[in-house]
Amino acid sequence: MEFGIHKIIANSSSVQWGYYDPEAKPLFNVSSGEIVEVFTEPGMREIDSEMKEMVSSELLDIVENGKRILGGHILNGPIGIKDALAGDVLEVKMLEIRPRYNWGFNRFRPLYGGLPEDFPYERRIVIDIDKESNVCHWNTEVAIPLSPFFGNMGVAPPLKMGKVPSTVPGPWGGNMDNKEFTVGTSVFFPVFIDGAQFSIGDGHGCQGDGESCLSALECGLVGKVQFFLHKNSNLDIPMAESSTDFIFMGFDPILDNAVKDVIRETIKFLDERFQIPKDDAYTLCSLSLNLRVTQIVNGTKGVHGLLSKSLFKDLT
Amino acid sequence: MEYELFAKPDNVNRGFYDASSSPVLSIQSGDTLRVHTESGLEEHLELVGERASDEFRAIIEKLPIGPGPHILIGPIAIEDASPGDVLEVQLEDISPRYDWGYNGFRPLMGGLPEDFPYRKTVIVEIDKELGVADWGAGIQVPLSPYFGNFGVAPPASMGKIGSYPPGAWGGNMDNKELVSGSKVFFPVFNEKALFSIGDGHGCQGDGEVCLTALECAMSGTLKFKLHKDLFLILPRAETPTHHIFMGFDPLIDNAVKIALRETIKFMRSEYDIHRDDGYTICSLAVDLRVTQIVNGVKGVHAMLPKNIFV
Repeated sequence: MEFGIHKIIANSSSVQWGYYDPEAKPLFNVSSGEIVEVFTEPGMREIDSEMKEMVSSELLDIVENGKRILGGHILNGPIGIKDALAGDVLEVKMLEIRPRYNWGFNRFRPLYGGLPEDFPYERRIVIDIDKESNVCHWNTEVAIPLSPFFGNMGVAPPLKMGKVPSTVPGPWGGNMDNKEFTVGTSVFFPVFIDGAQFSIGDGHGCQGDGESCLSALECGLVGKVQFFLHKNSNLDIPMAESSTDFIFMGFDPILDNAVKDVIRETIKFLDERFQIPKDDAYTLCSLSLNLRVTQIVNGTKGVHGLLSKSLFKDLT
Repeated sequence: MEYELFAKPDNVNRGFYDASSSPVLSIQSGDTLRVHTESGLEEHLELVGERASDEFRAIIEKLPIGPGPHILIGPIAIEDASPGDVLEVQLEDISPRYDWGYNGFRPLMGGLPEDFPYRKTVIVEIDKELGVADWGAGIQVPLSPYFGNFGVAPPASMGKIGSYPPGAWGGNMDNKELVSGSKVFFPVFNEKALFSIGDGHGCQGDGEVCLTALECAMSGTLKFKLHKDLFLILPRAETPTHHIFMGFDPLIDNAVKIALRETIKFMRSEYDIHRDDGYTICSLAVDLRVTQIVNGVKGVHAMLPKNIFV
């Protein structure tokens, strides 16, 4: 700890590997307003001799000494939030996010991904990250701009659910893989247990809406996040706010259902925040809500809706 | 050559695409056509009263409607077009004609039919100078005008089909990316292609959630180019910044797969990118967006940025 900023460097004793657990003990507790700096590792567990040269000693420690349960994501945490109680809302603001290393990877494998019928085999590639030029590339004639964010973050699920796998998104957040969650964005989570118990990881250097093949540019990230506890607020499922948009989410194995969840969340928000009658909210959605496919690869798929904040600049 | 068509009863149809329709105009590859479309049903005519154009009134009074509701100018014959060709349509100078548009929903249709089992229709004021639609309640929605419904005639074997669903011929794509400056490429199914266009949208979100966008009469300039050396199964599009691939299916989950396959196929043929790399590029850089959920056949489009190709 330095100047009041807590740090979590991912290693075998500071991460939850593959799950969210309402019974896990927090690494430490912070108050509303405090900042935590996290150094995360990508969820890569098959490390051959060639890769051993490339990966950090901390990742090797996790792979050799950590205990992986249910999923594959390496999540720093949990972080306890002082005074947080079930029914509150936890805001997590992304203050800084940058790639930690000069490499990342991408992988697809049989039975997973957006087109499992067409790609019934495994492929993993290591991708060079050029931090200076802010792009990534491998041996193709493409260079993809970086836009880093954490794919997987959230609070502990309700106690009665017990451990949940880190692979699926849900009301606790989890594997949302929402590429809008870049620096400057605040994500709001419903709190289910005392202390909220927030975890974060699964750095993505860049990703398209959909995360089509199964994984993004999976990489270690350094991030600073600030916590704000909202006592007089209520949420059923996470939402977010960027500098330009309100962001609503729907999670369902079928995208057609996830779309409906997003529209309903948006209409509810427009009523609660701006007192817009539901008929008008529905038609406003038709003109202004942008429905995007968040991801199609986490079993429970995701859709998010972006609603421009500038529409409401004359209302308060 | 440059041509201009103002929608009126003898150059539009209401609600269908049909390979057996007689062309209202015959043009050549390279020609430019300025169109001025009309939009609406009898209920909108009644609501706007005096503000309705004589042509709109005549169309509503004289032409039968169905199976769909859209007023489409056309068909336009493209000389020398044959099945298997590709018709490119470049879109320029799209702007609303009038200071009104409309929006609404109705029972059993739209994105949330369970929650909204009733009808609502509103006339929306359009401020062309400020480039906004006045939504009321202090909300101004920026205009971003485009045509929701355009395409070639479907295969003759399909007969007369409703203008509701999108498909391989284009039709009711409702893709908000197709603004001025974009190009759309259609597979040609019939001699002379038989192109039609209408359904102006002043603005719309991805999804067209409630059933309709800001529906309005629209002017736009179209430049046609015939490609004998291209082949397409589905329409695709191009903006200054992106290649756009479309998937149409009653289920979004299926439409996503179609759009992804089109994207991977294009990267392979256009950039010689191996399909494994194409799949990974989709994951890292291609945005999947929900085009519309309200046309029976839903739409997803994939946005491939041009700037990743060095």
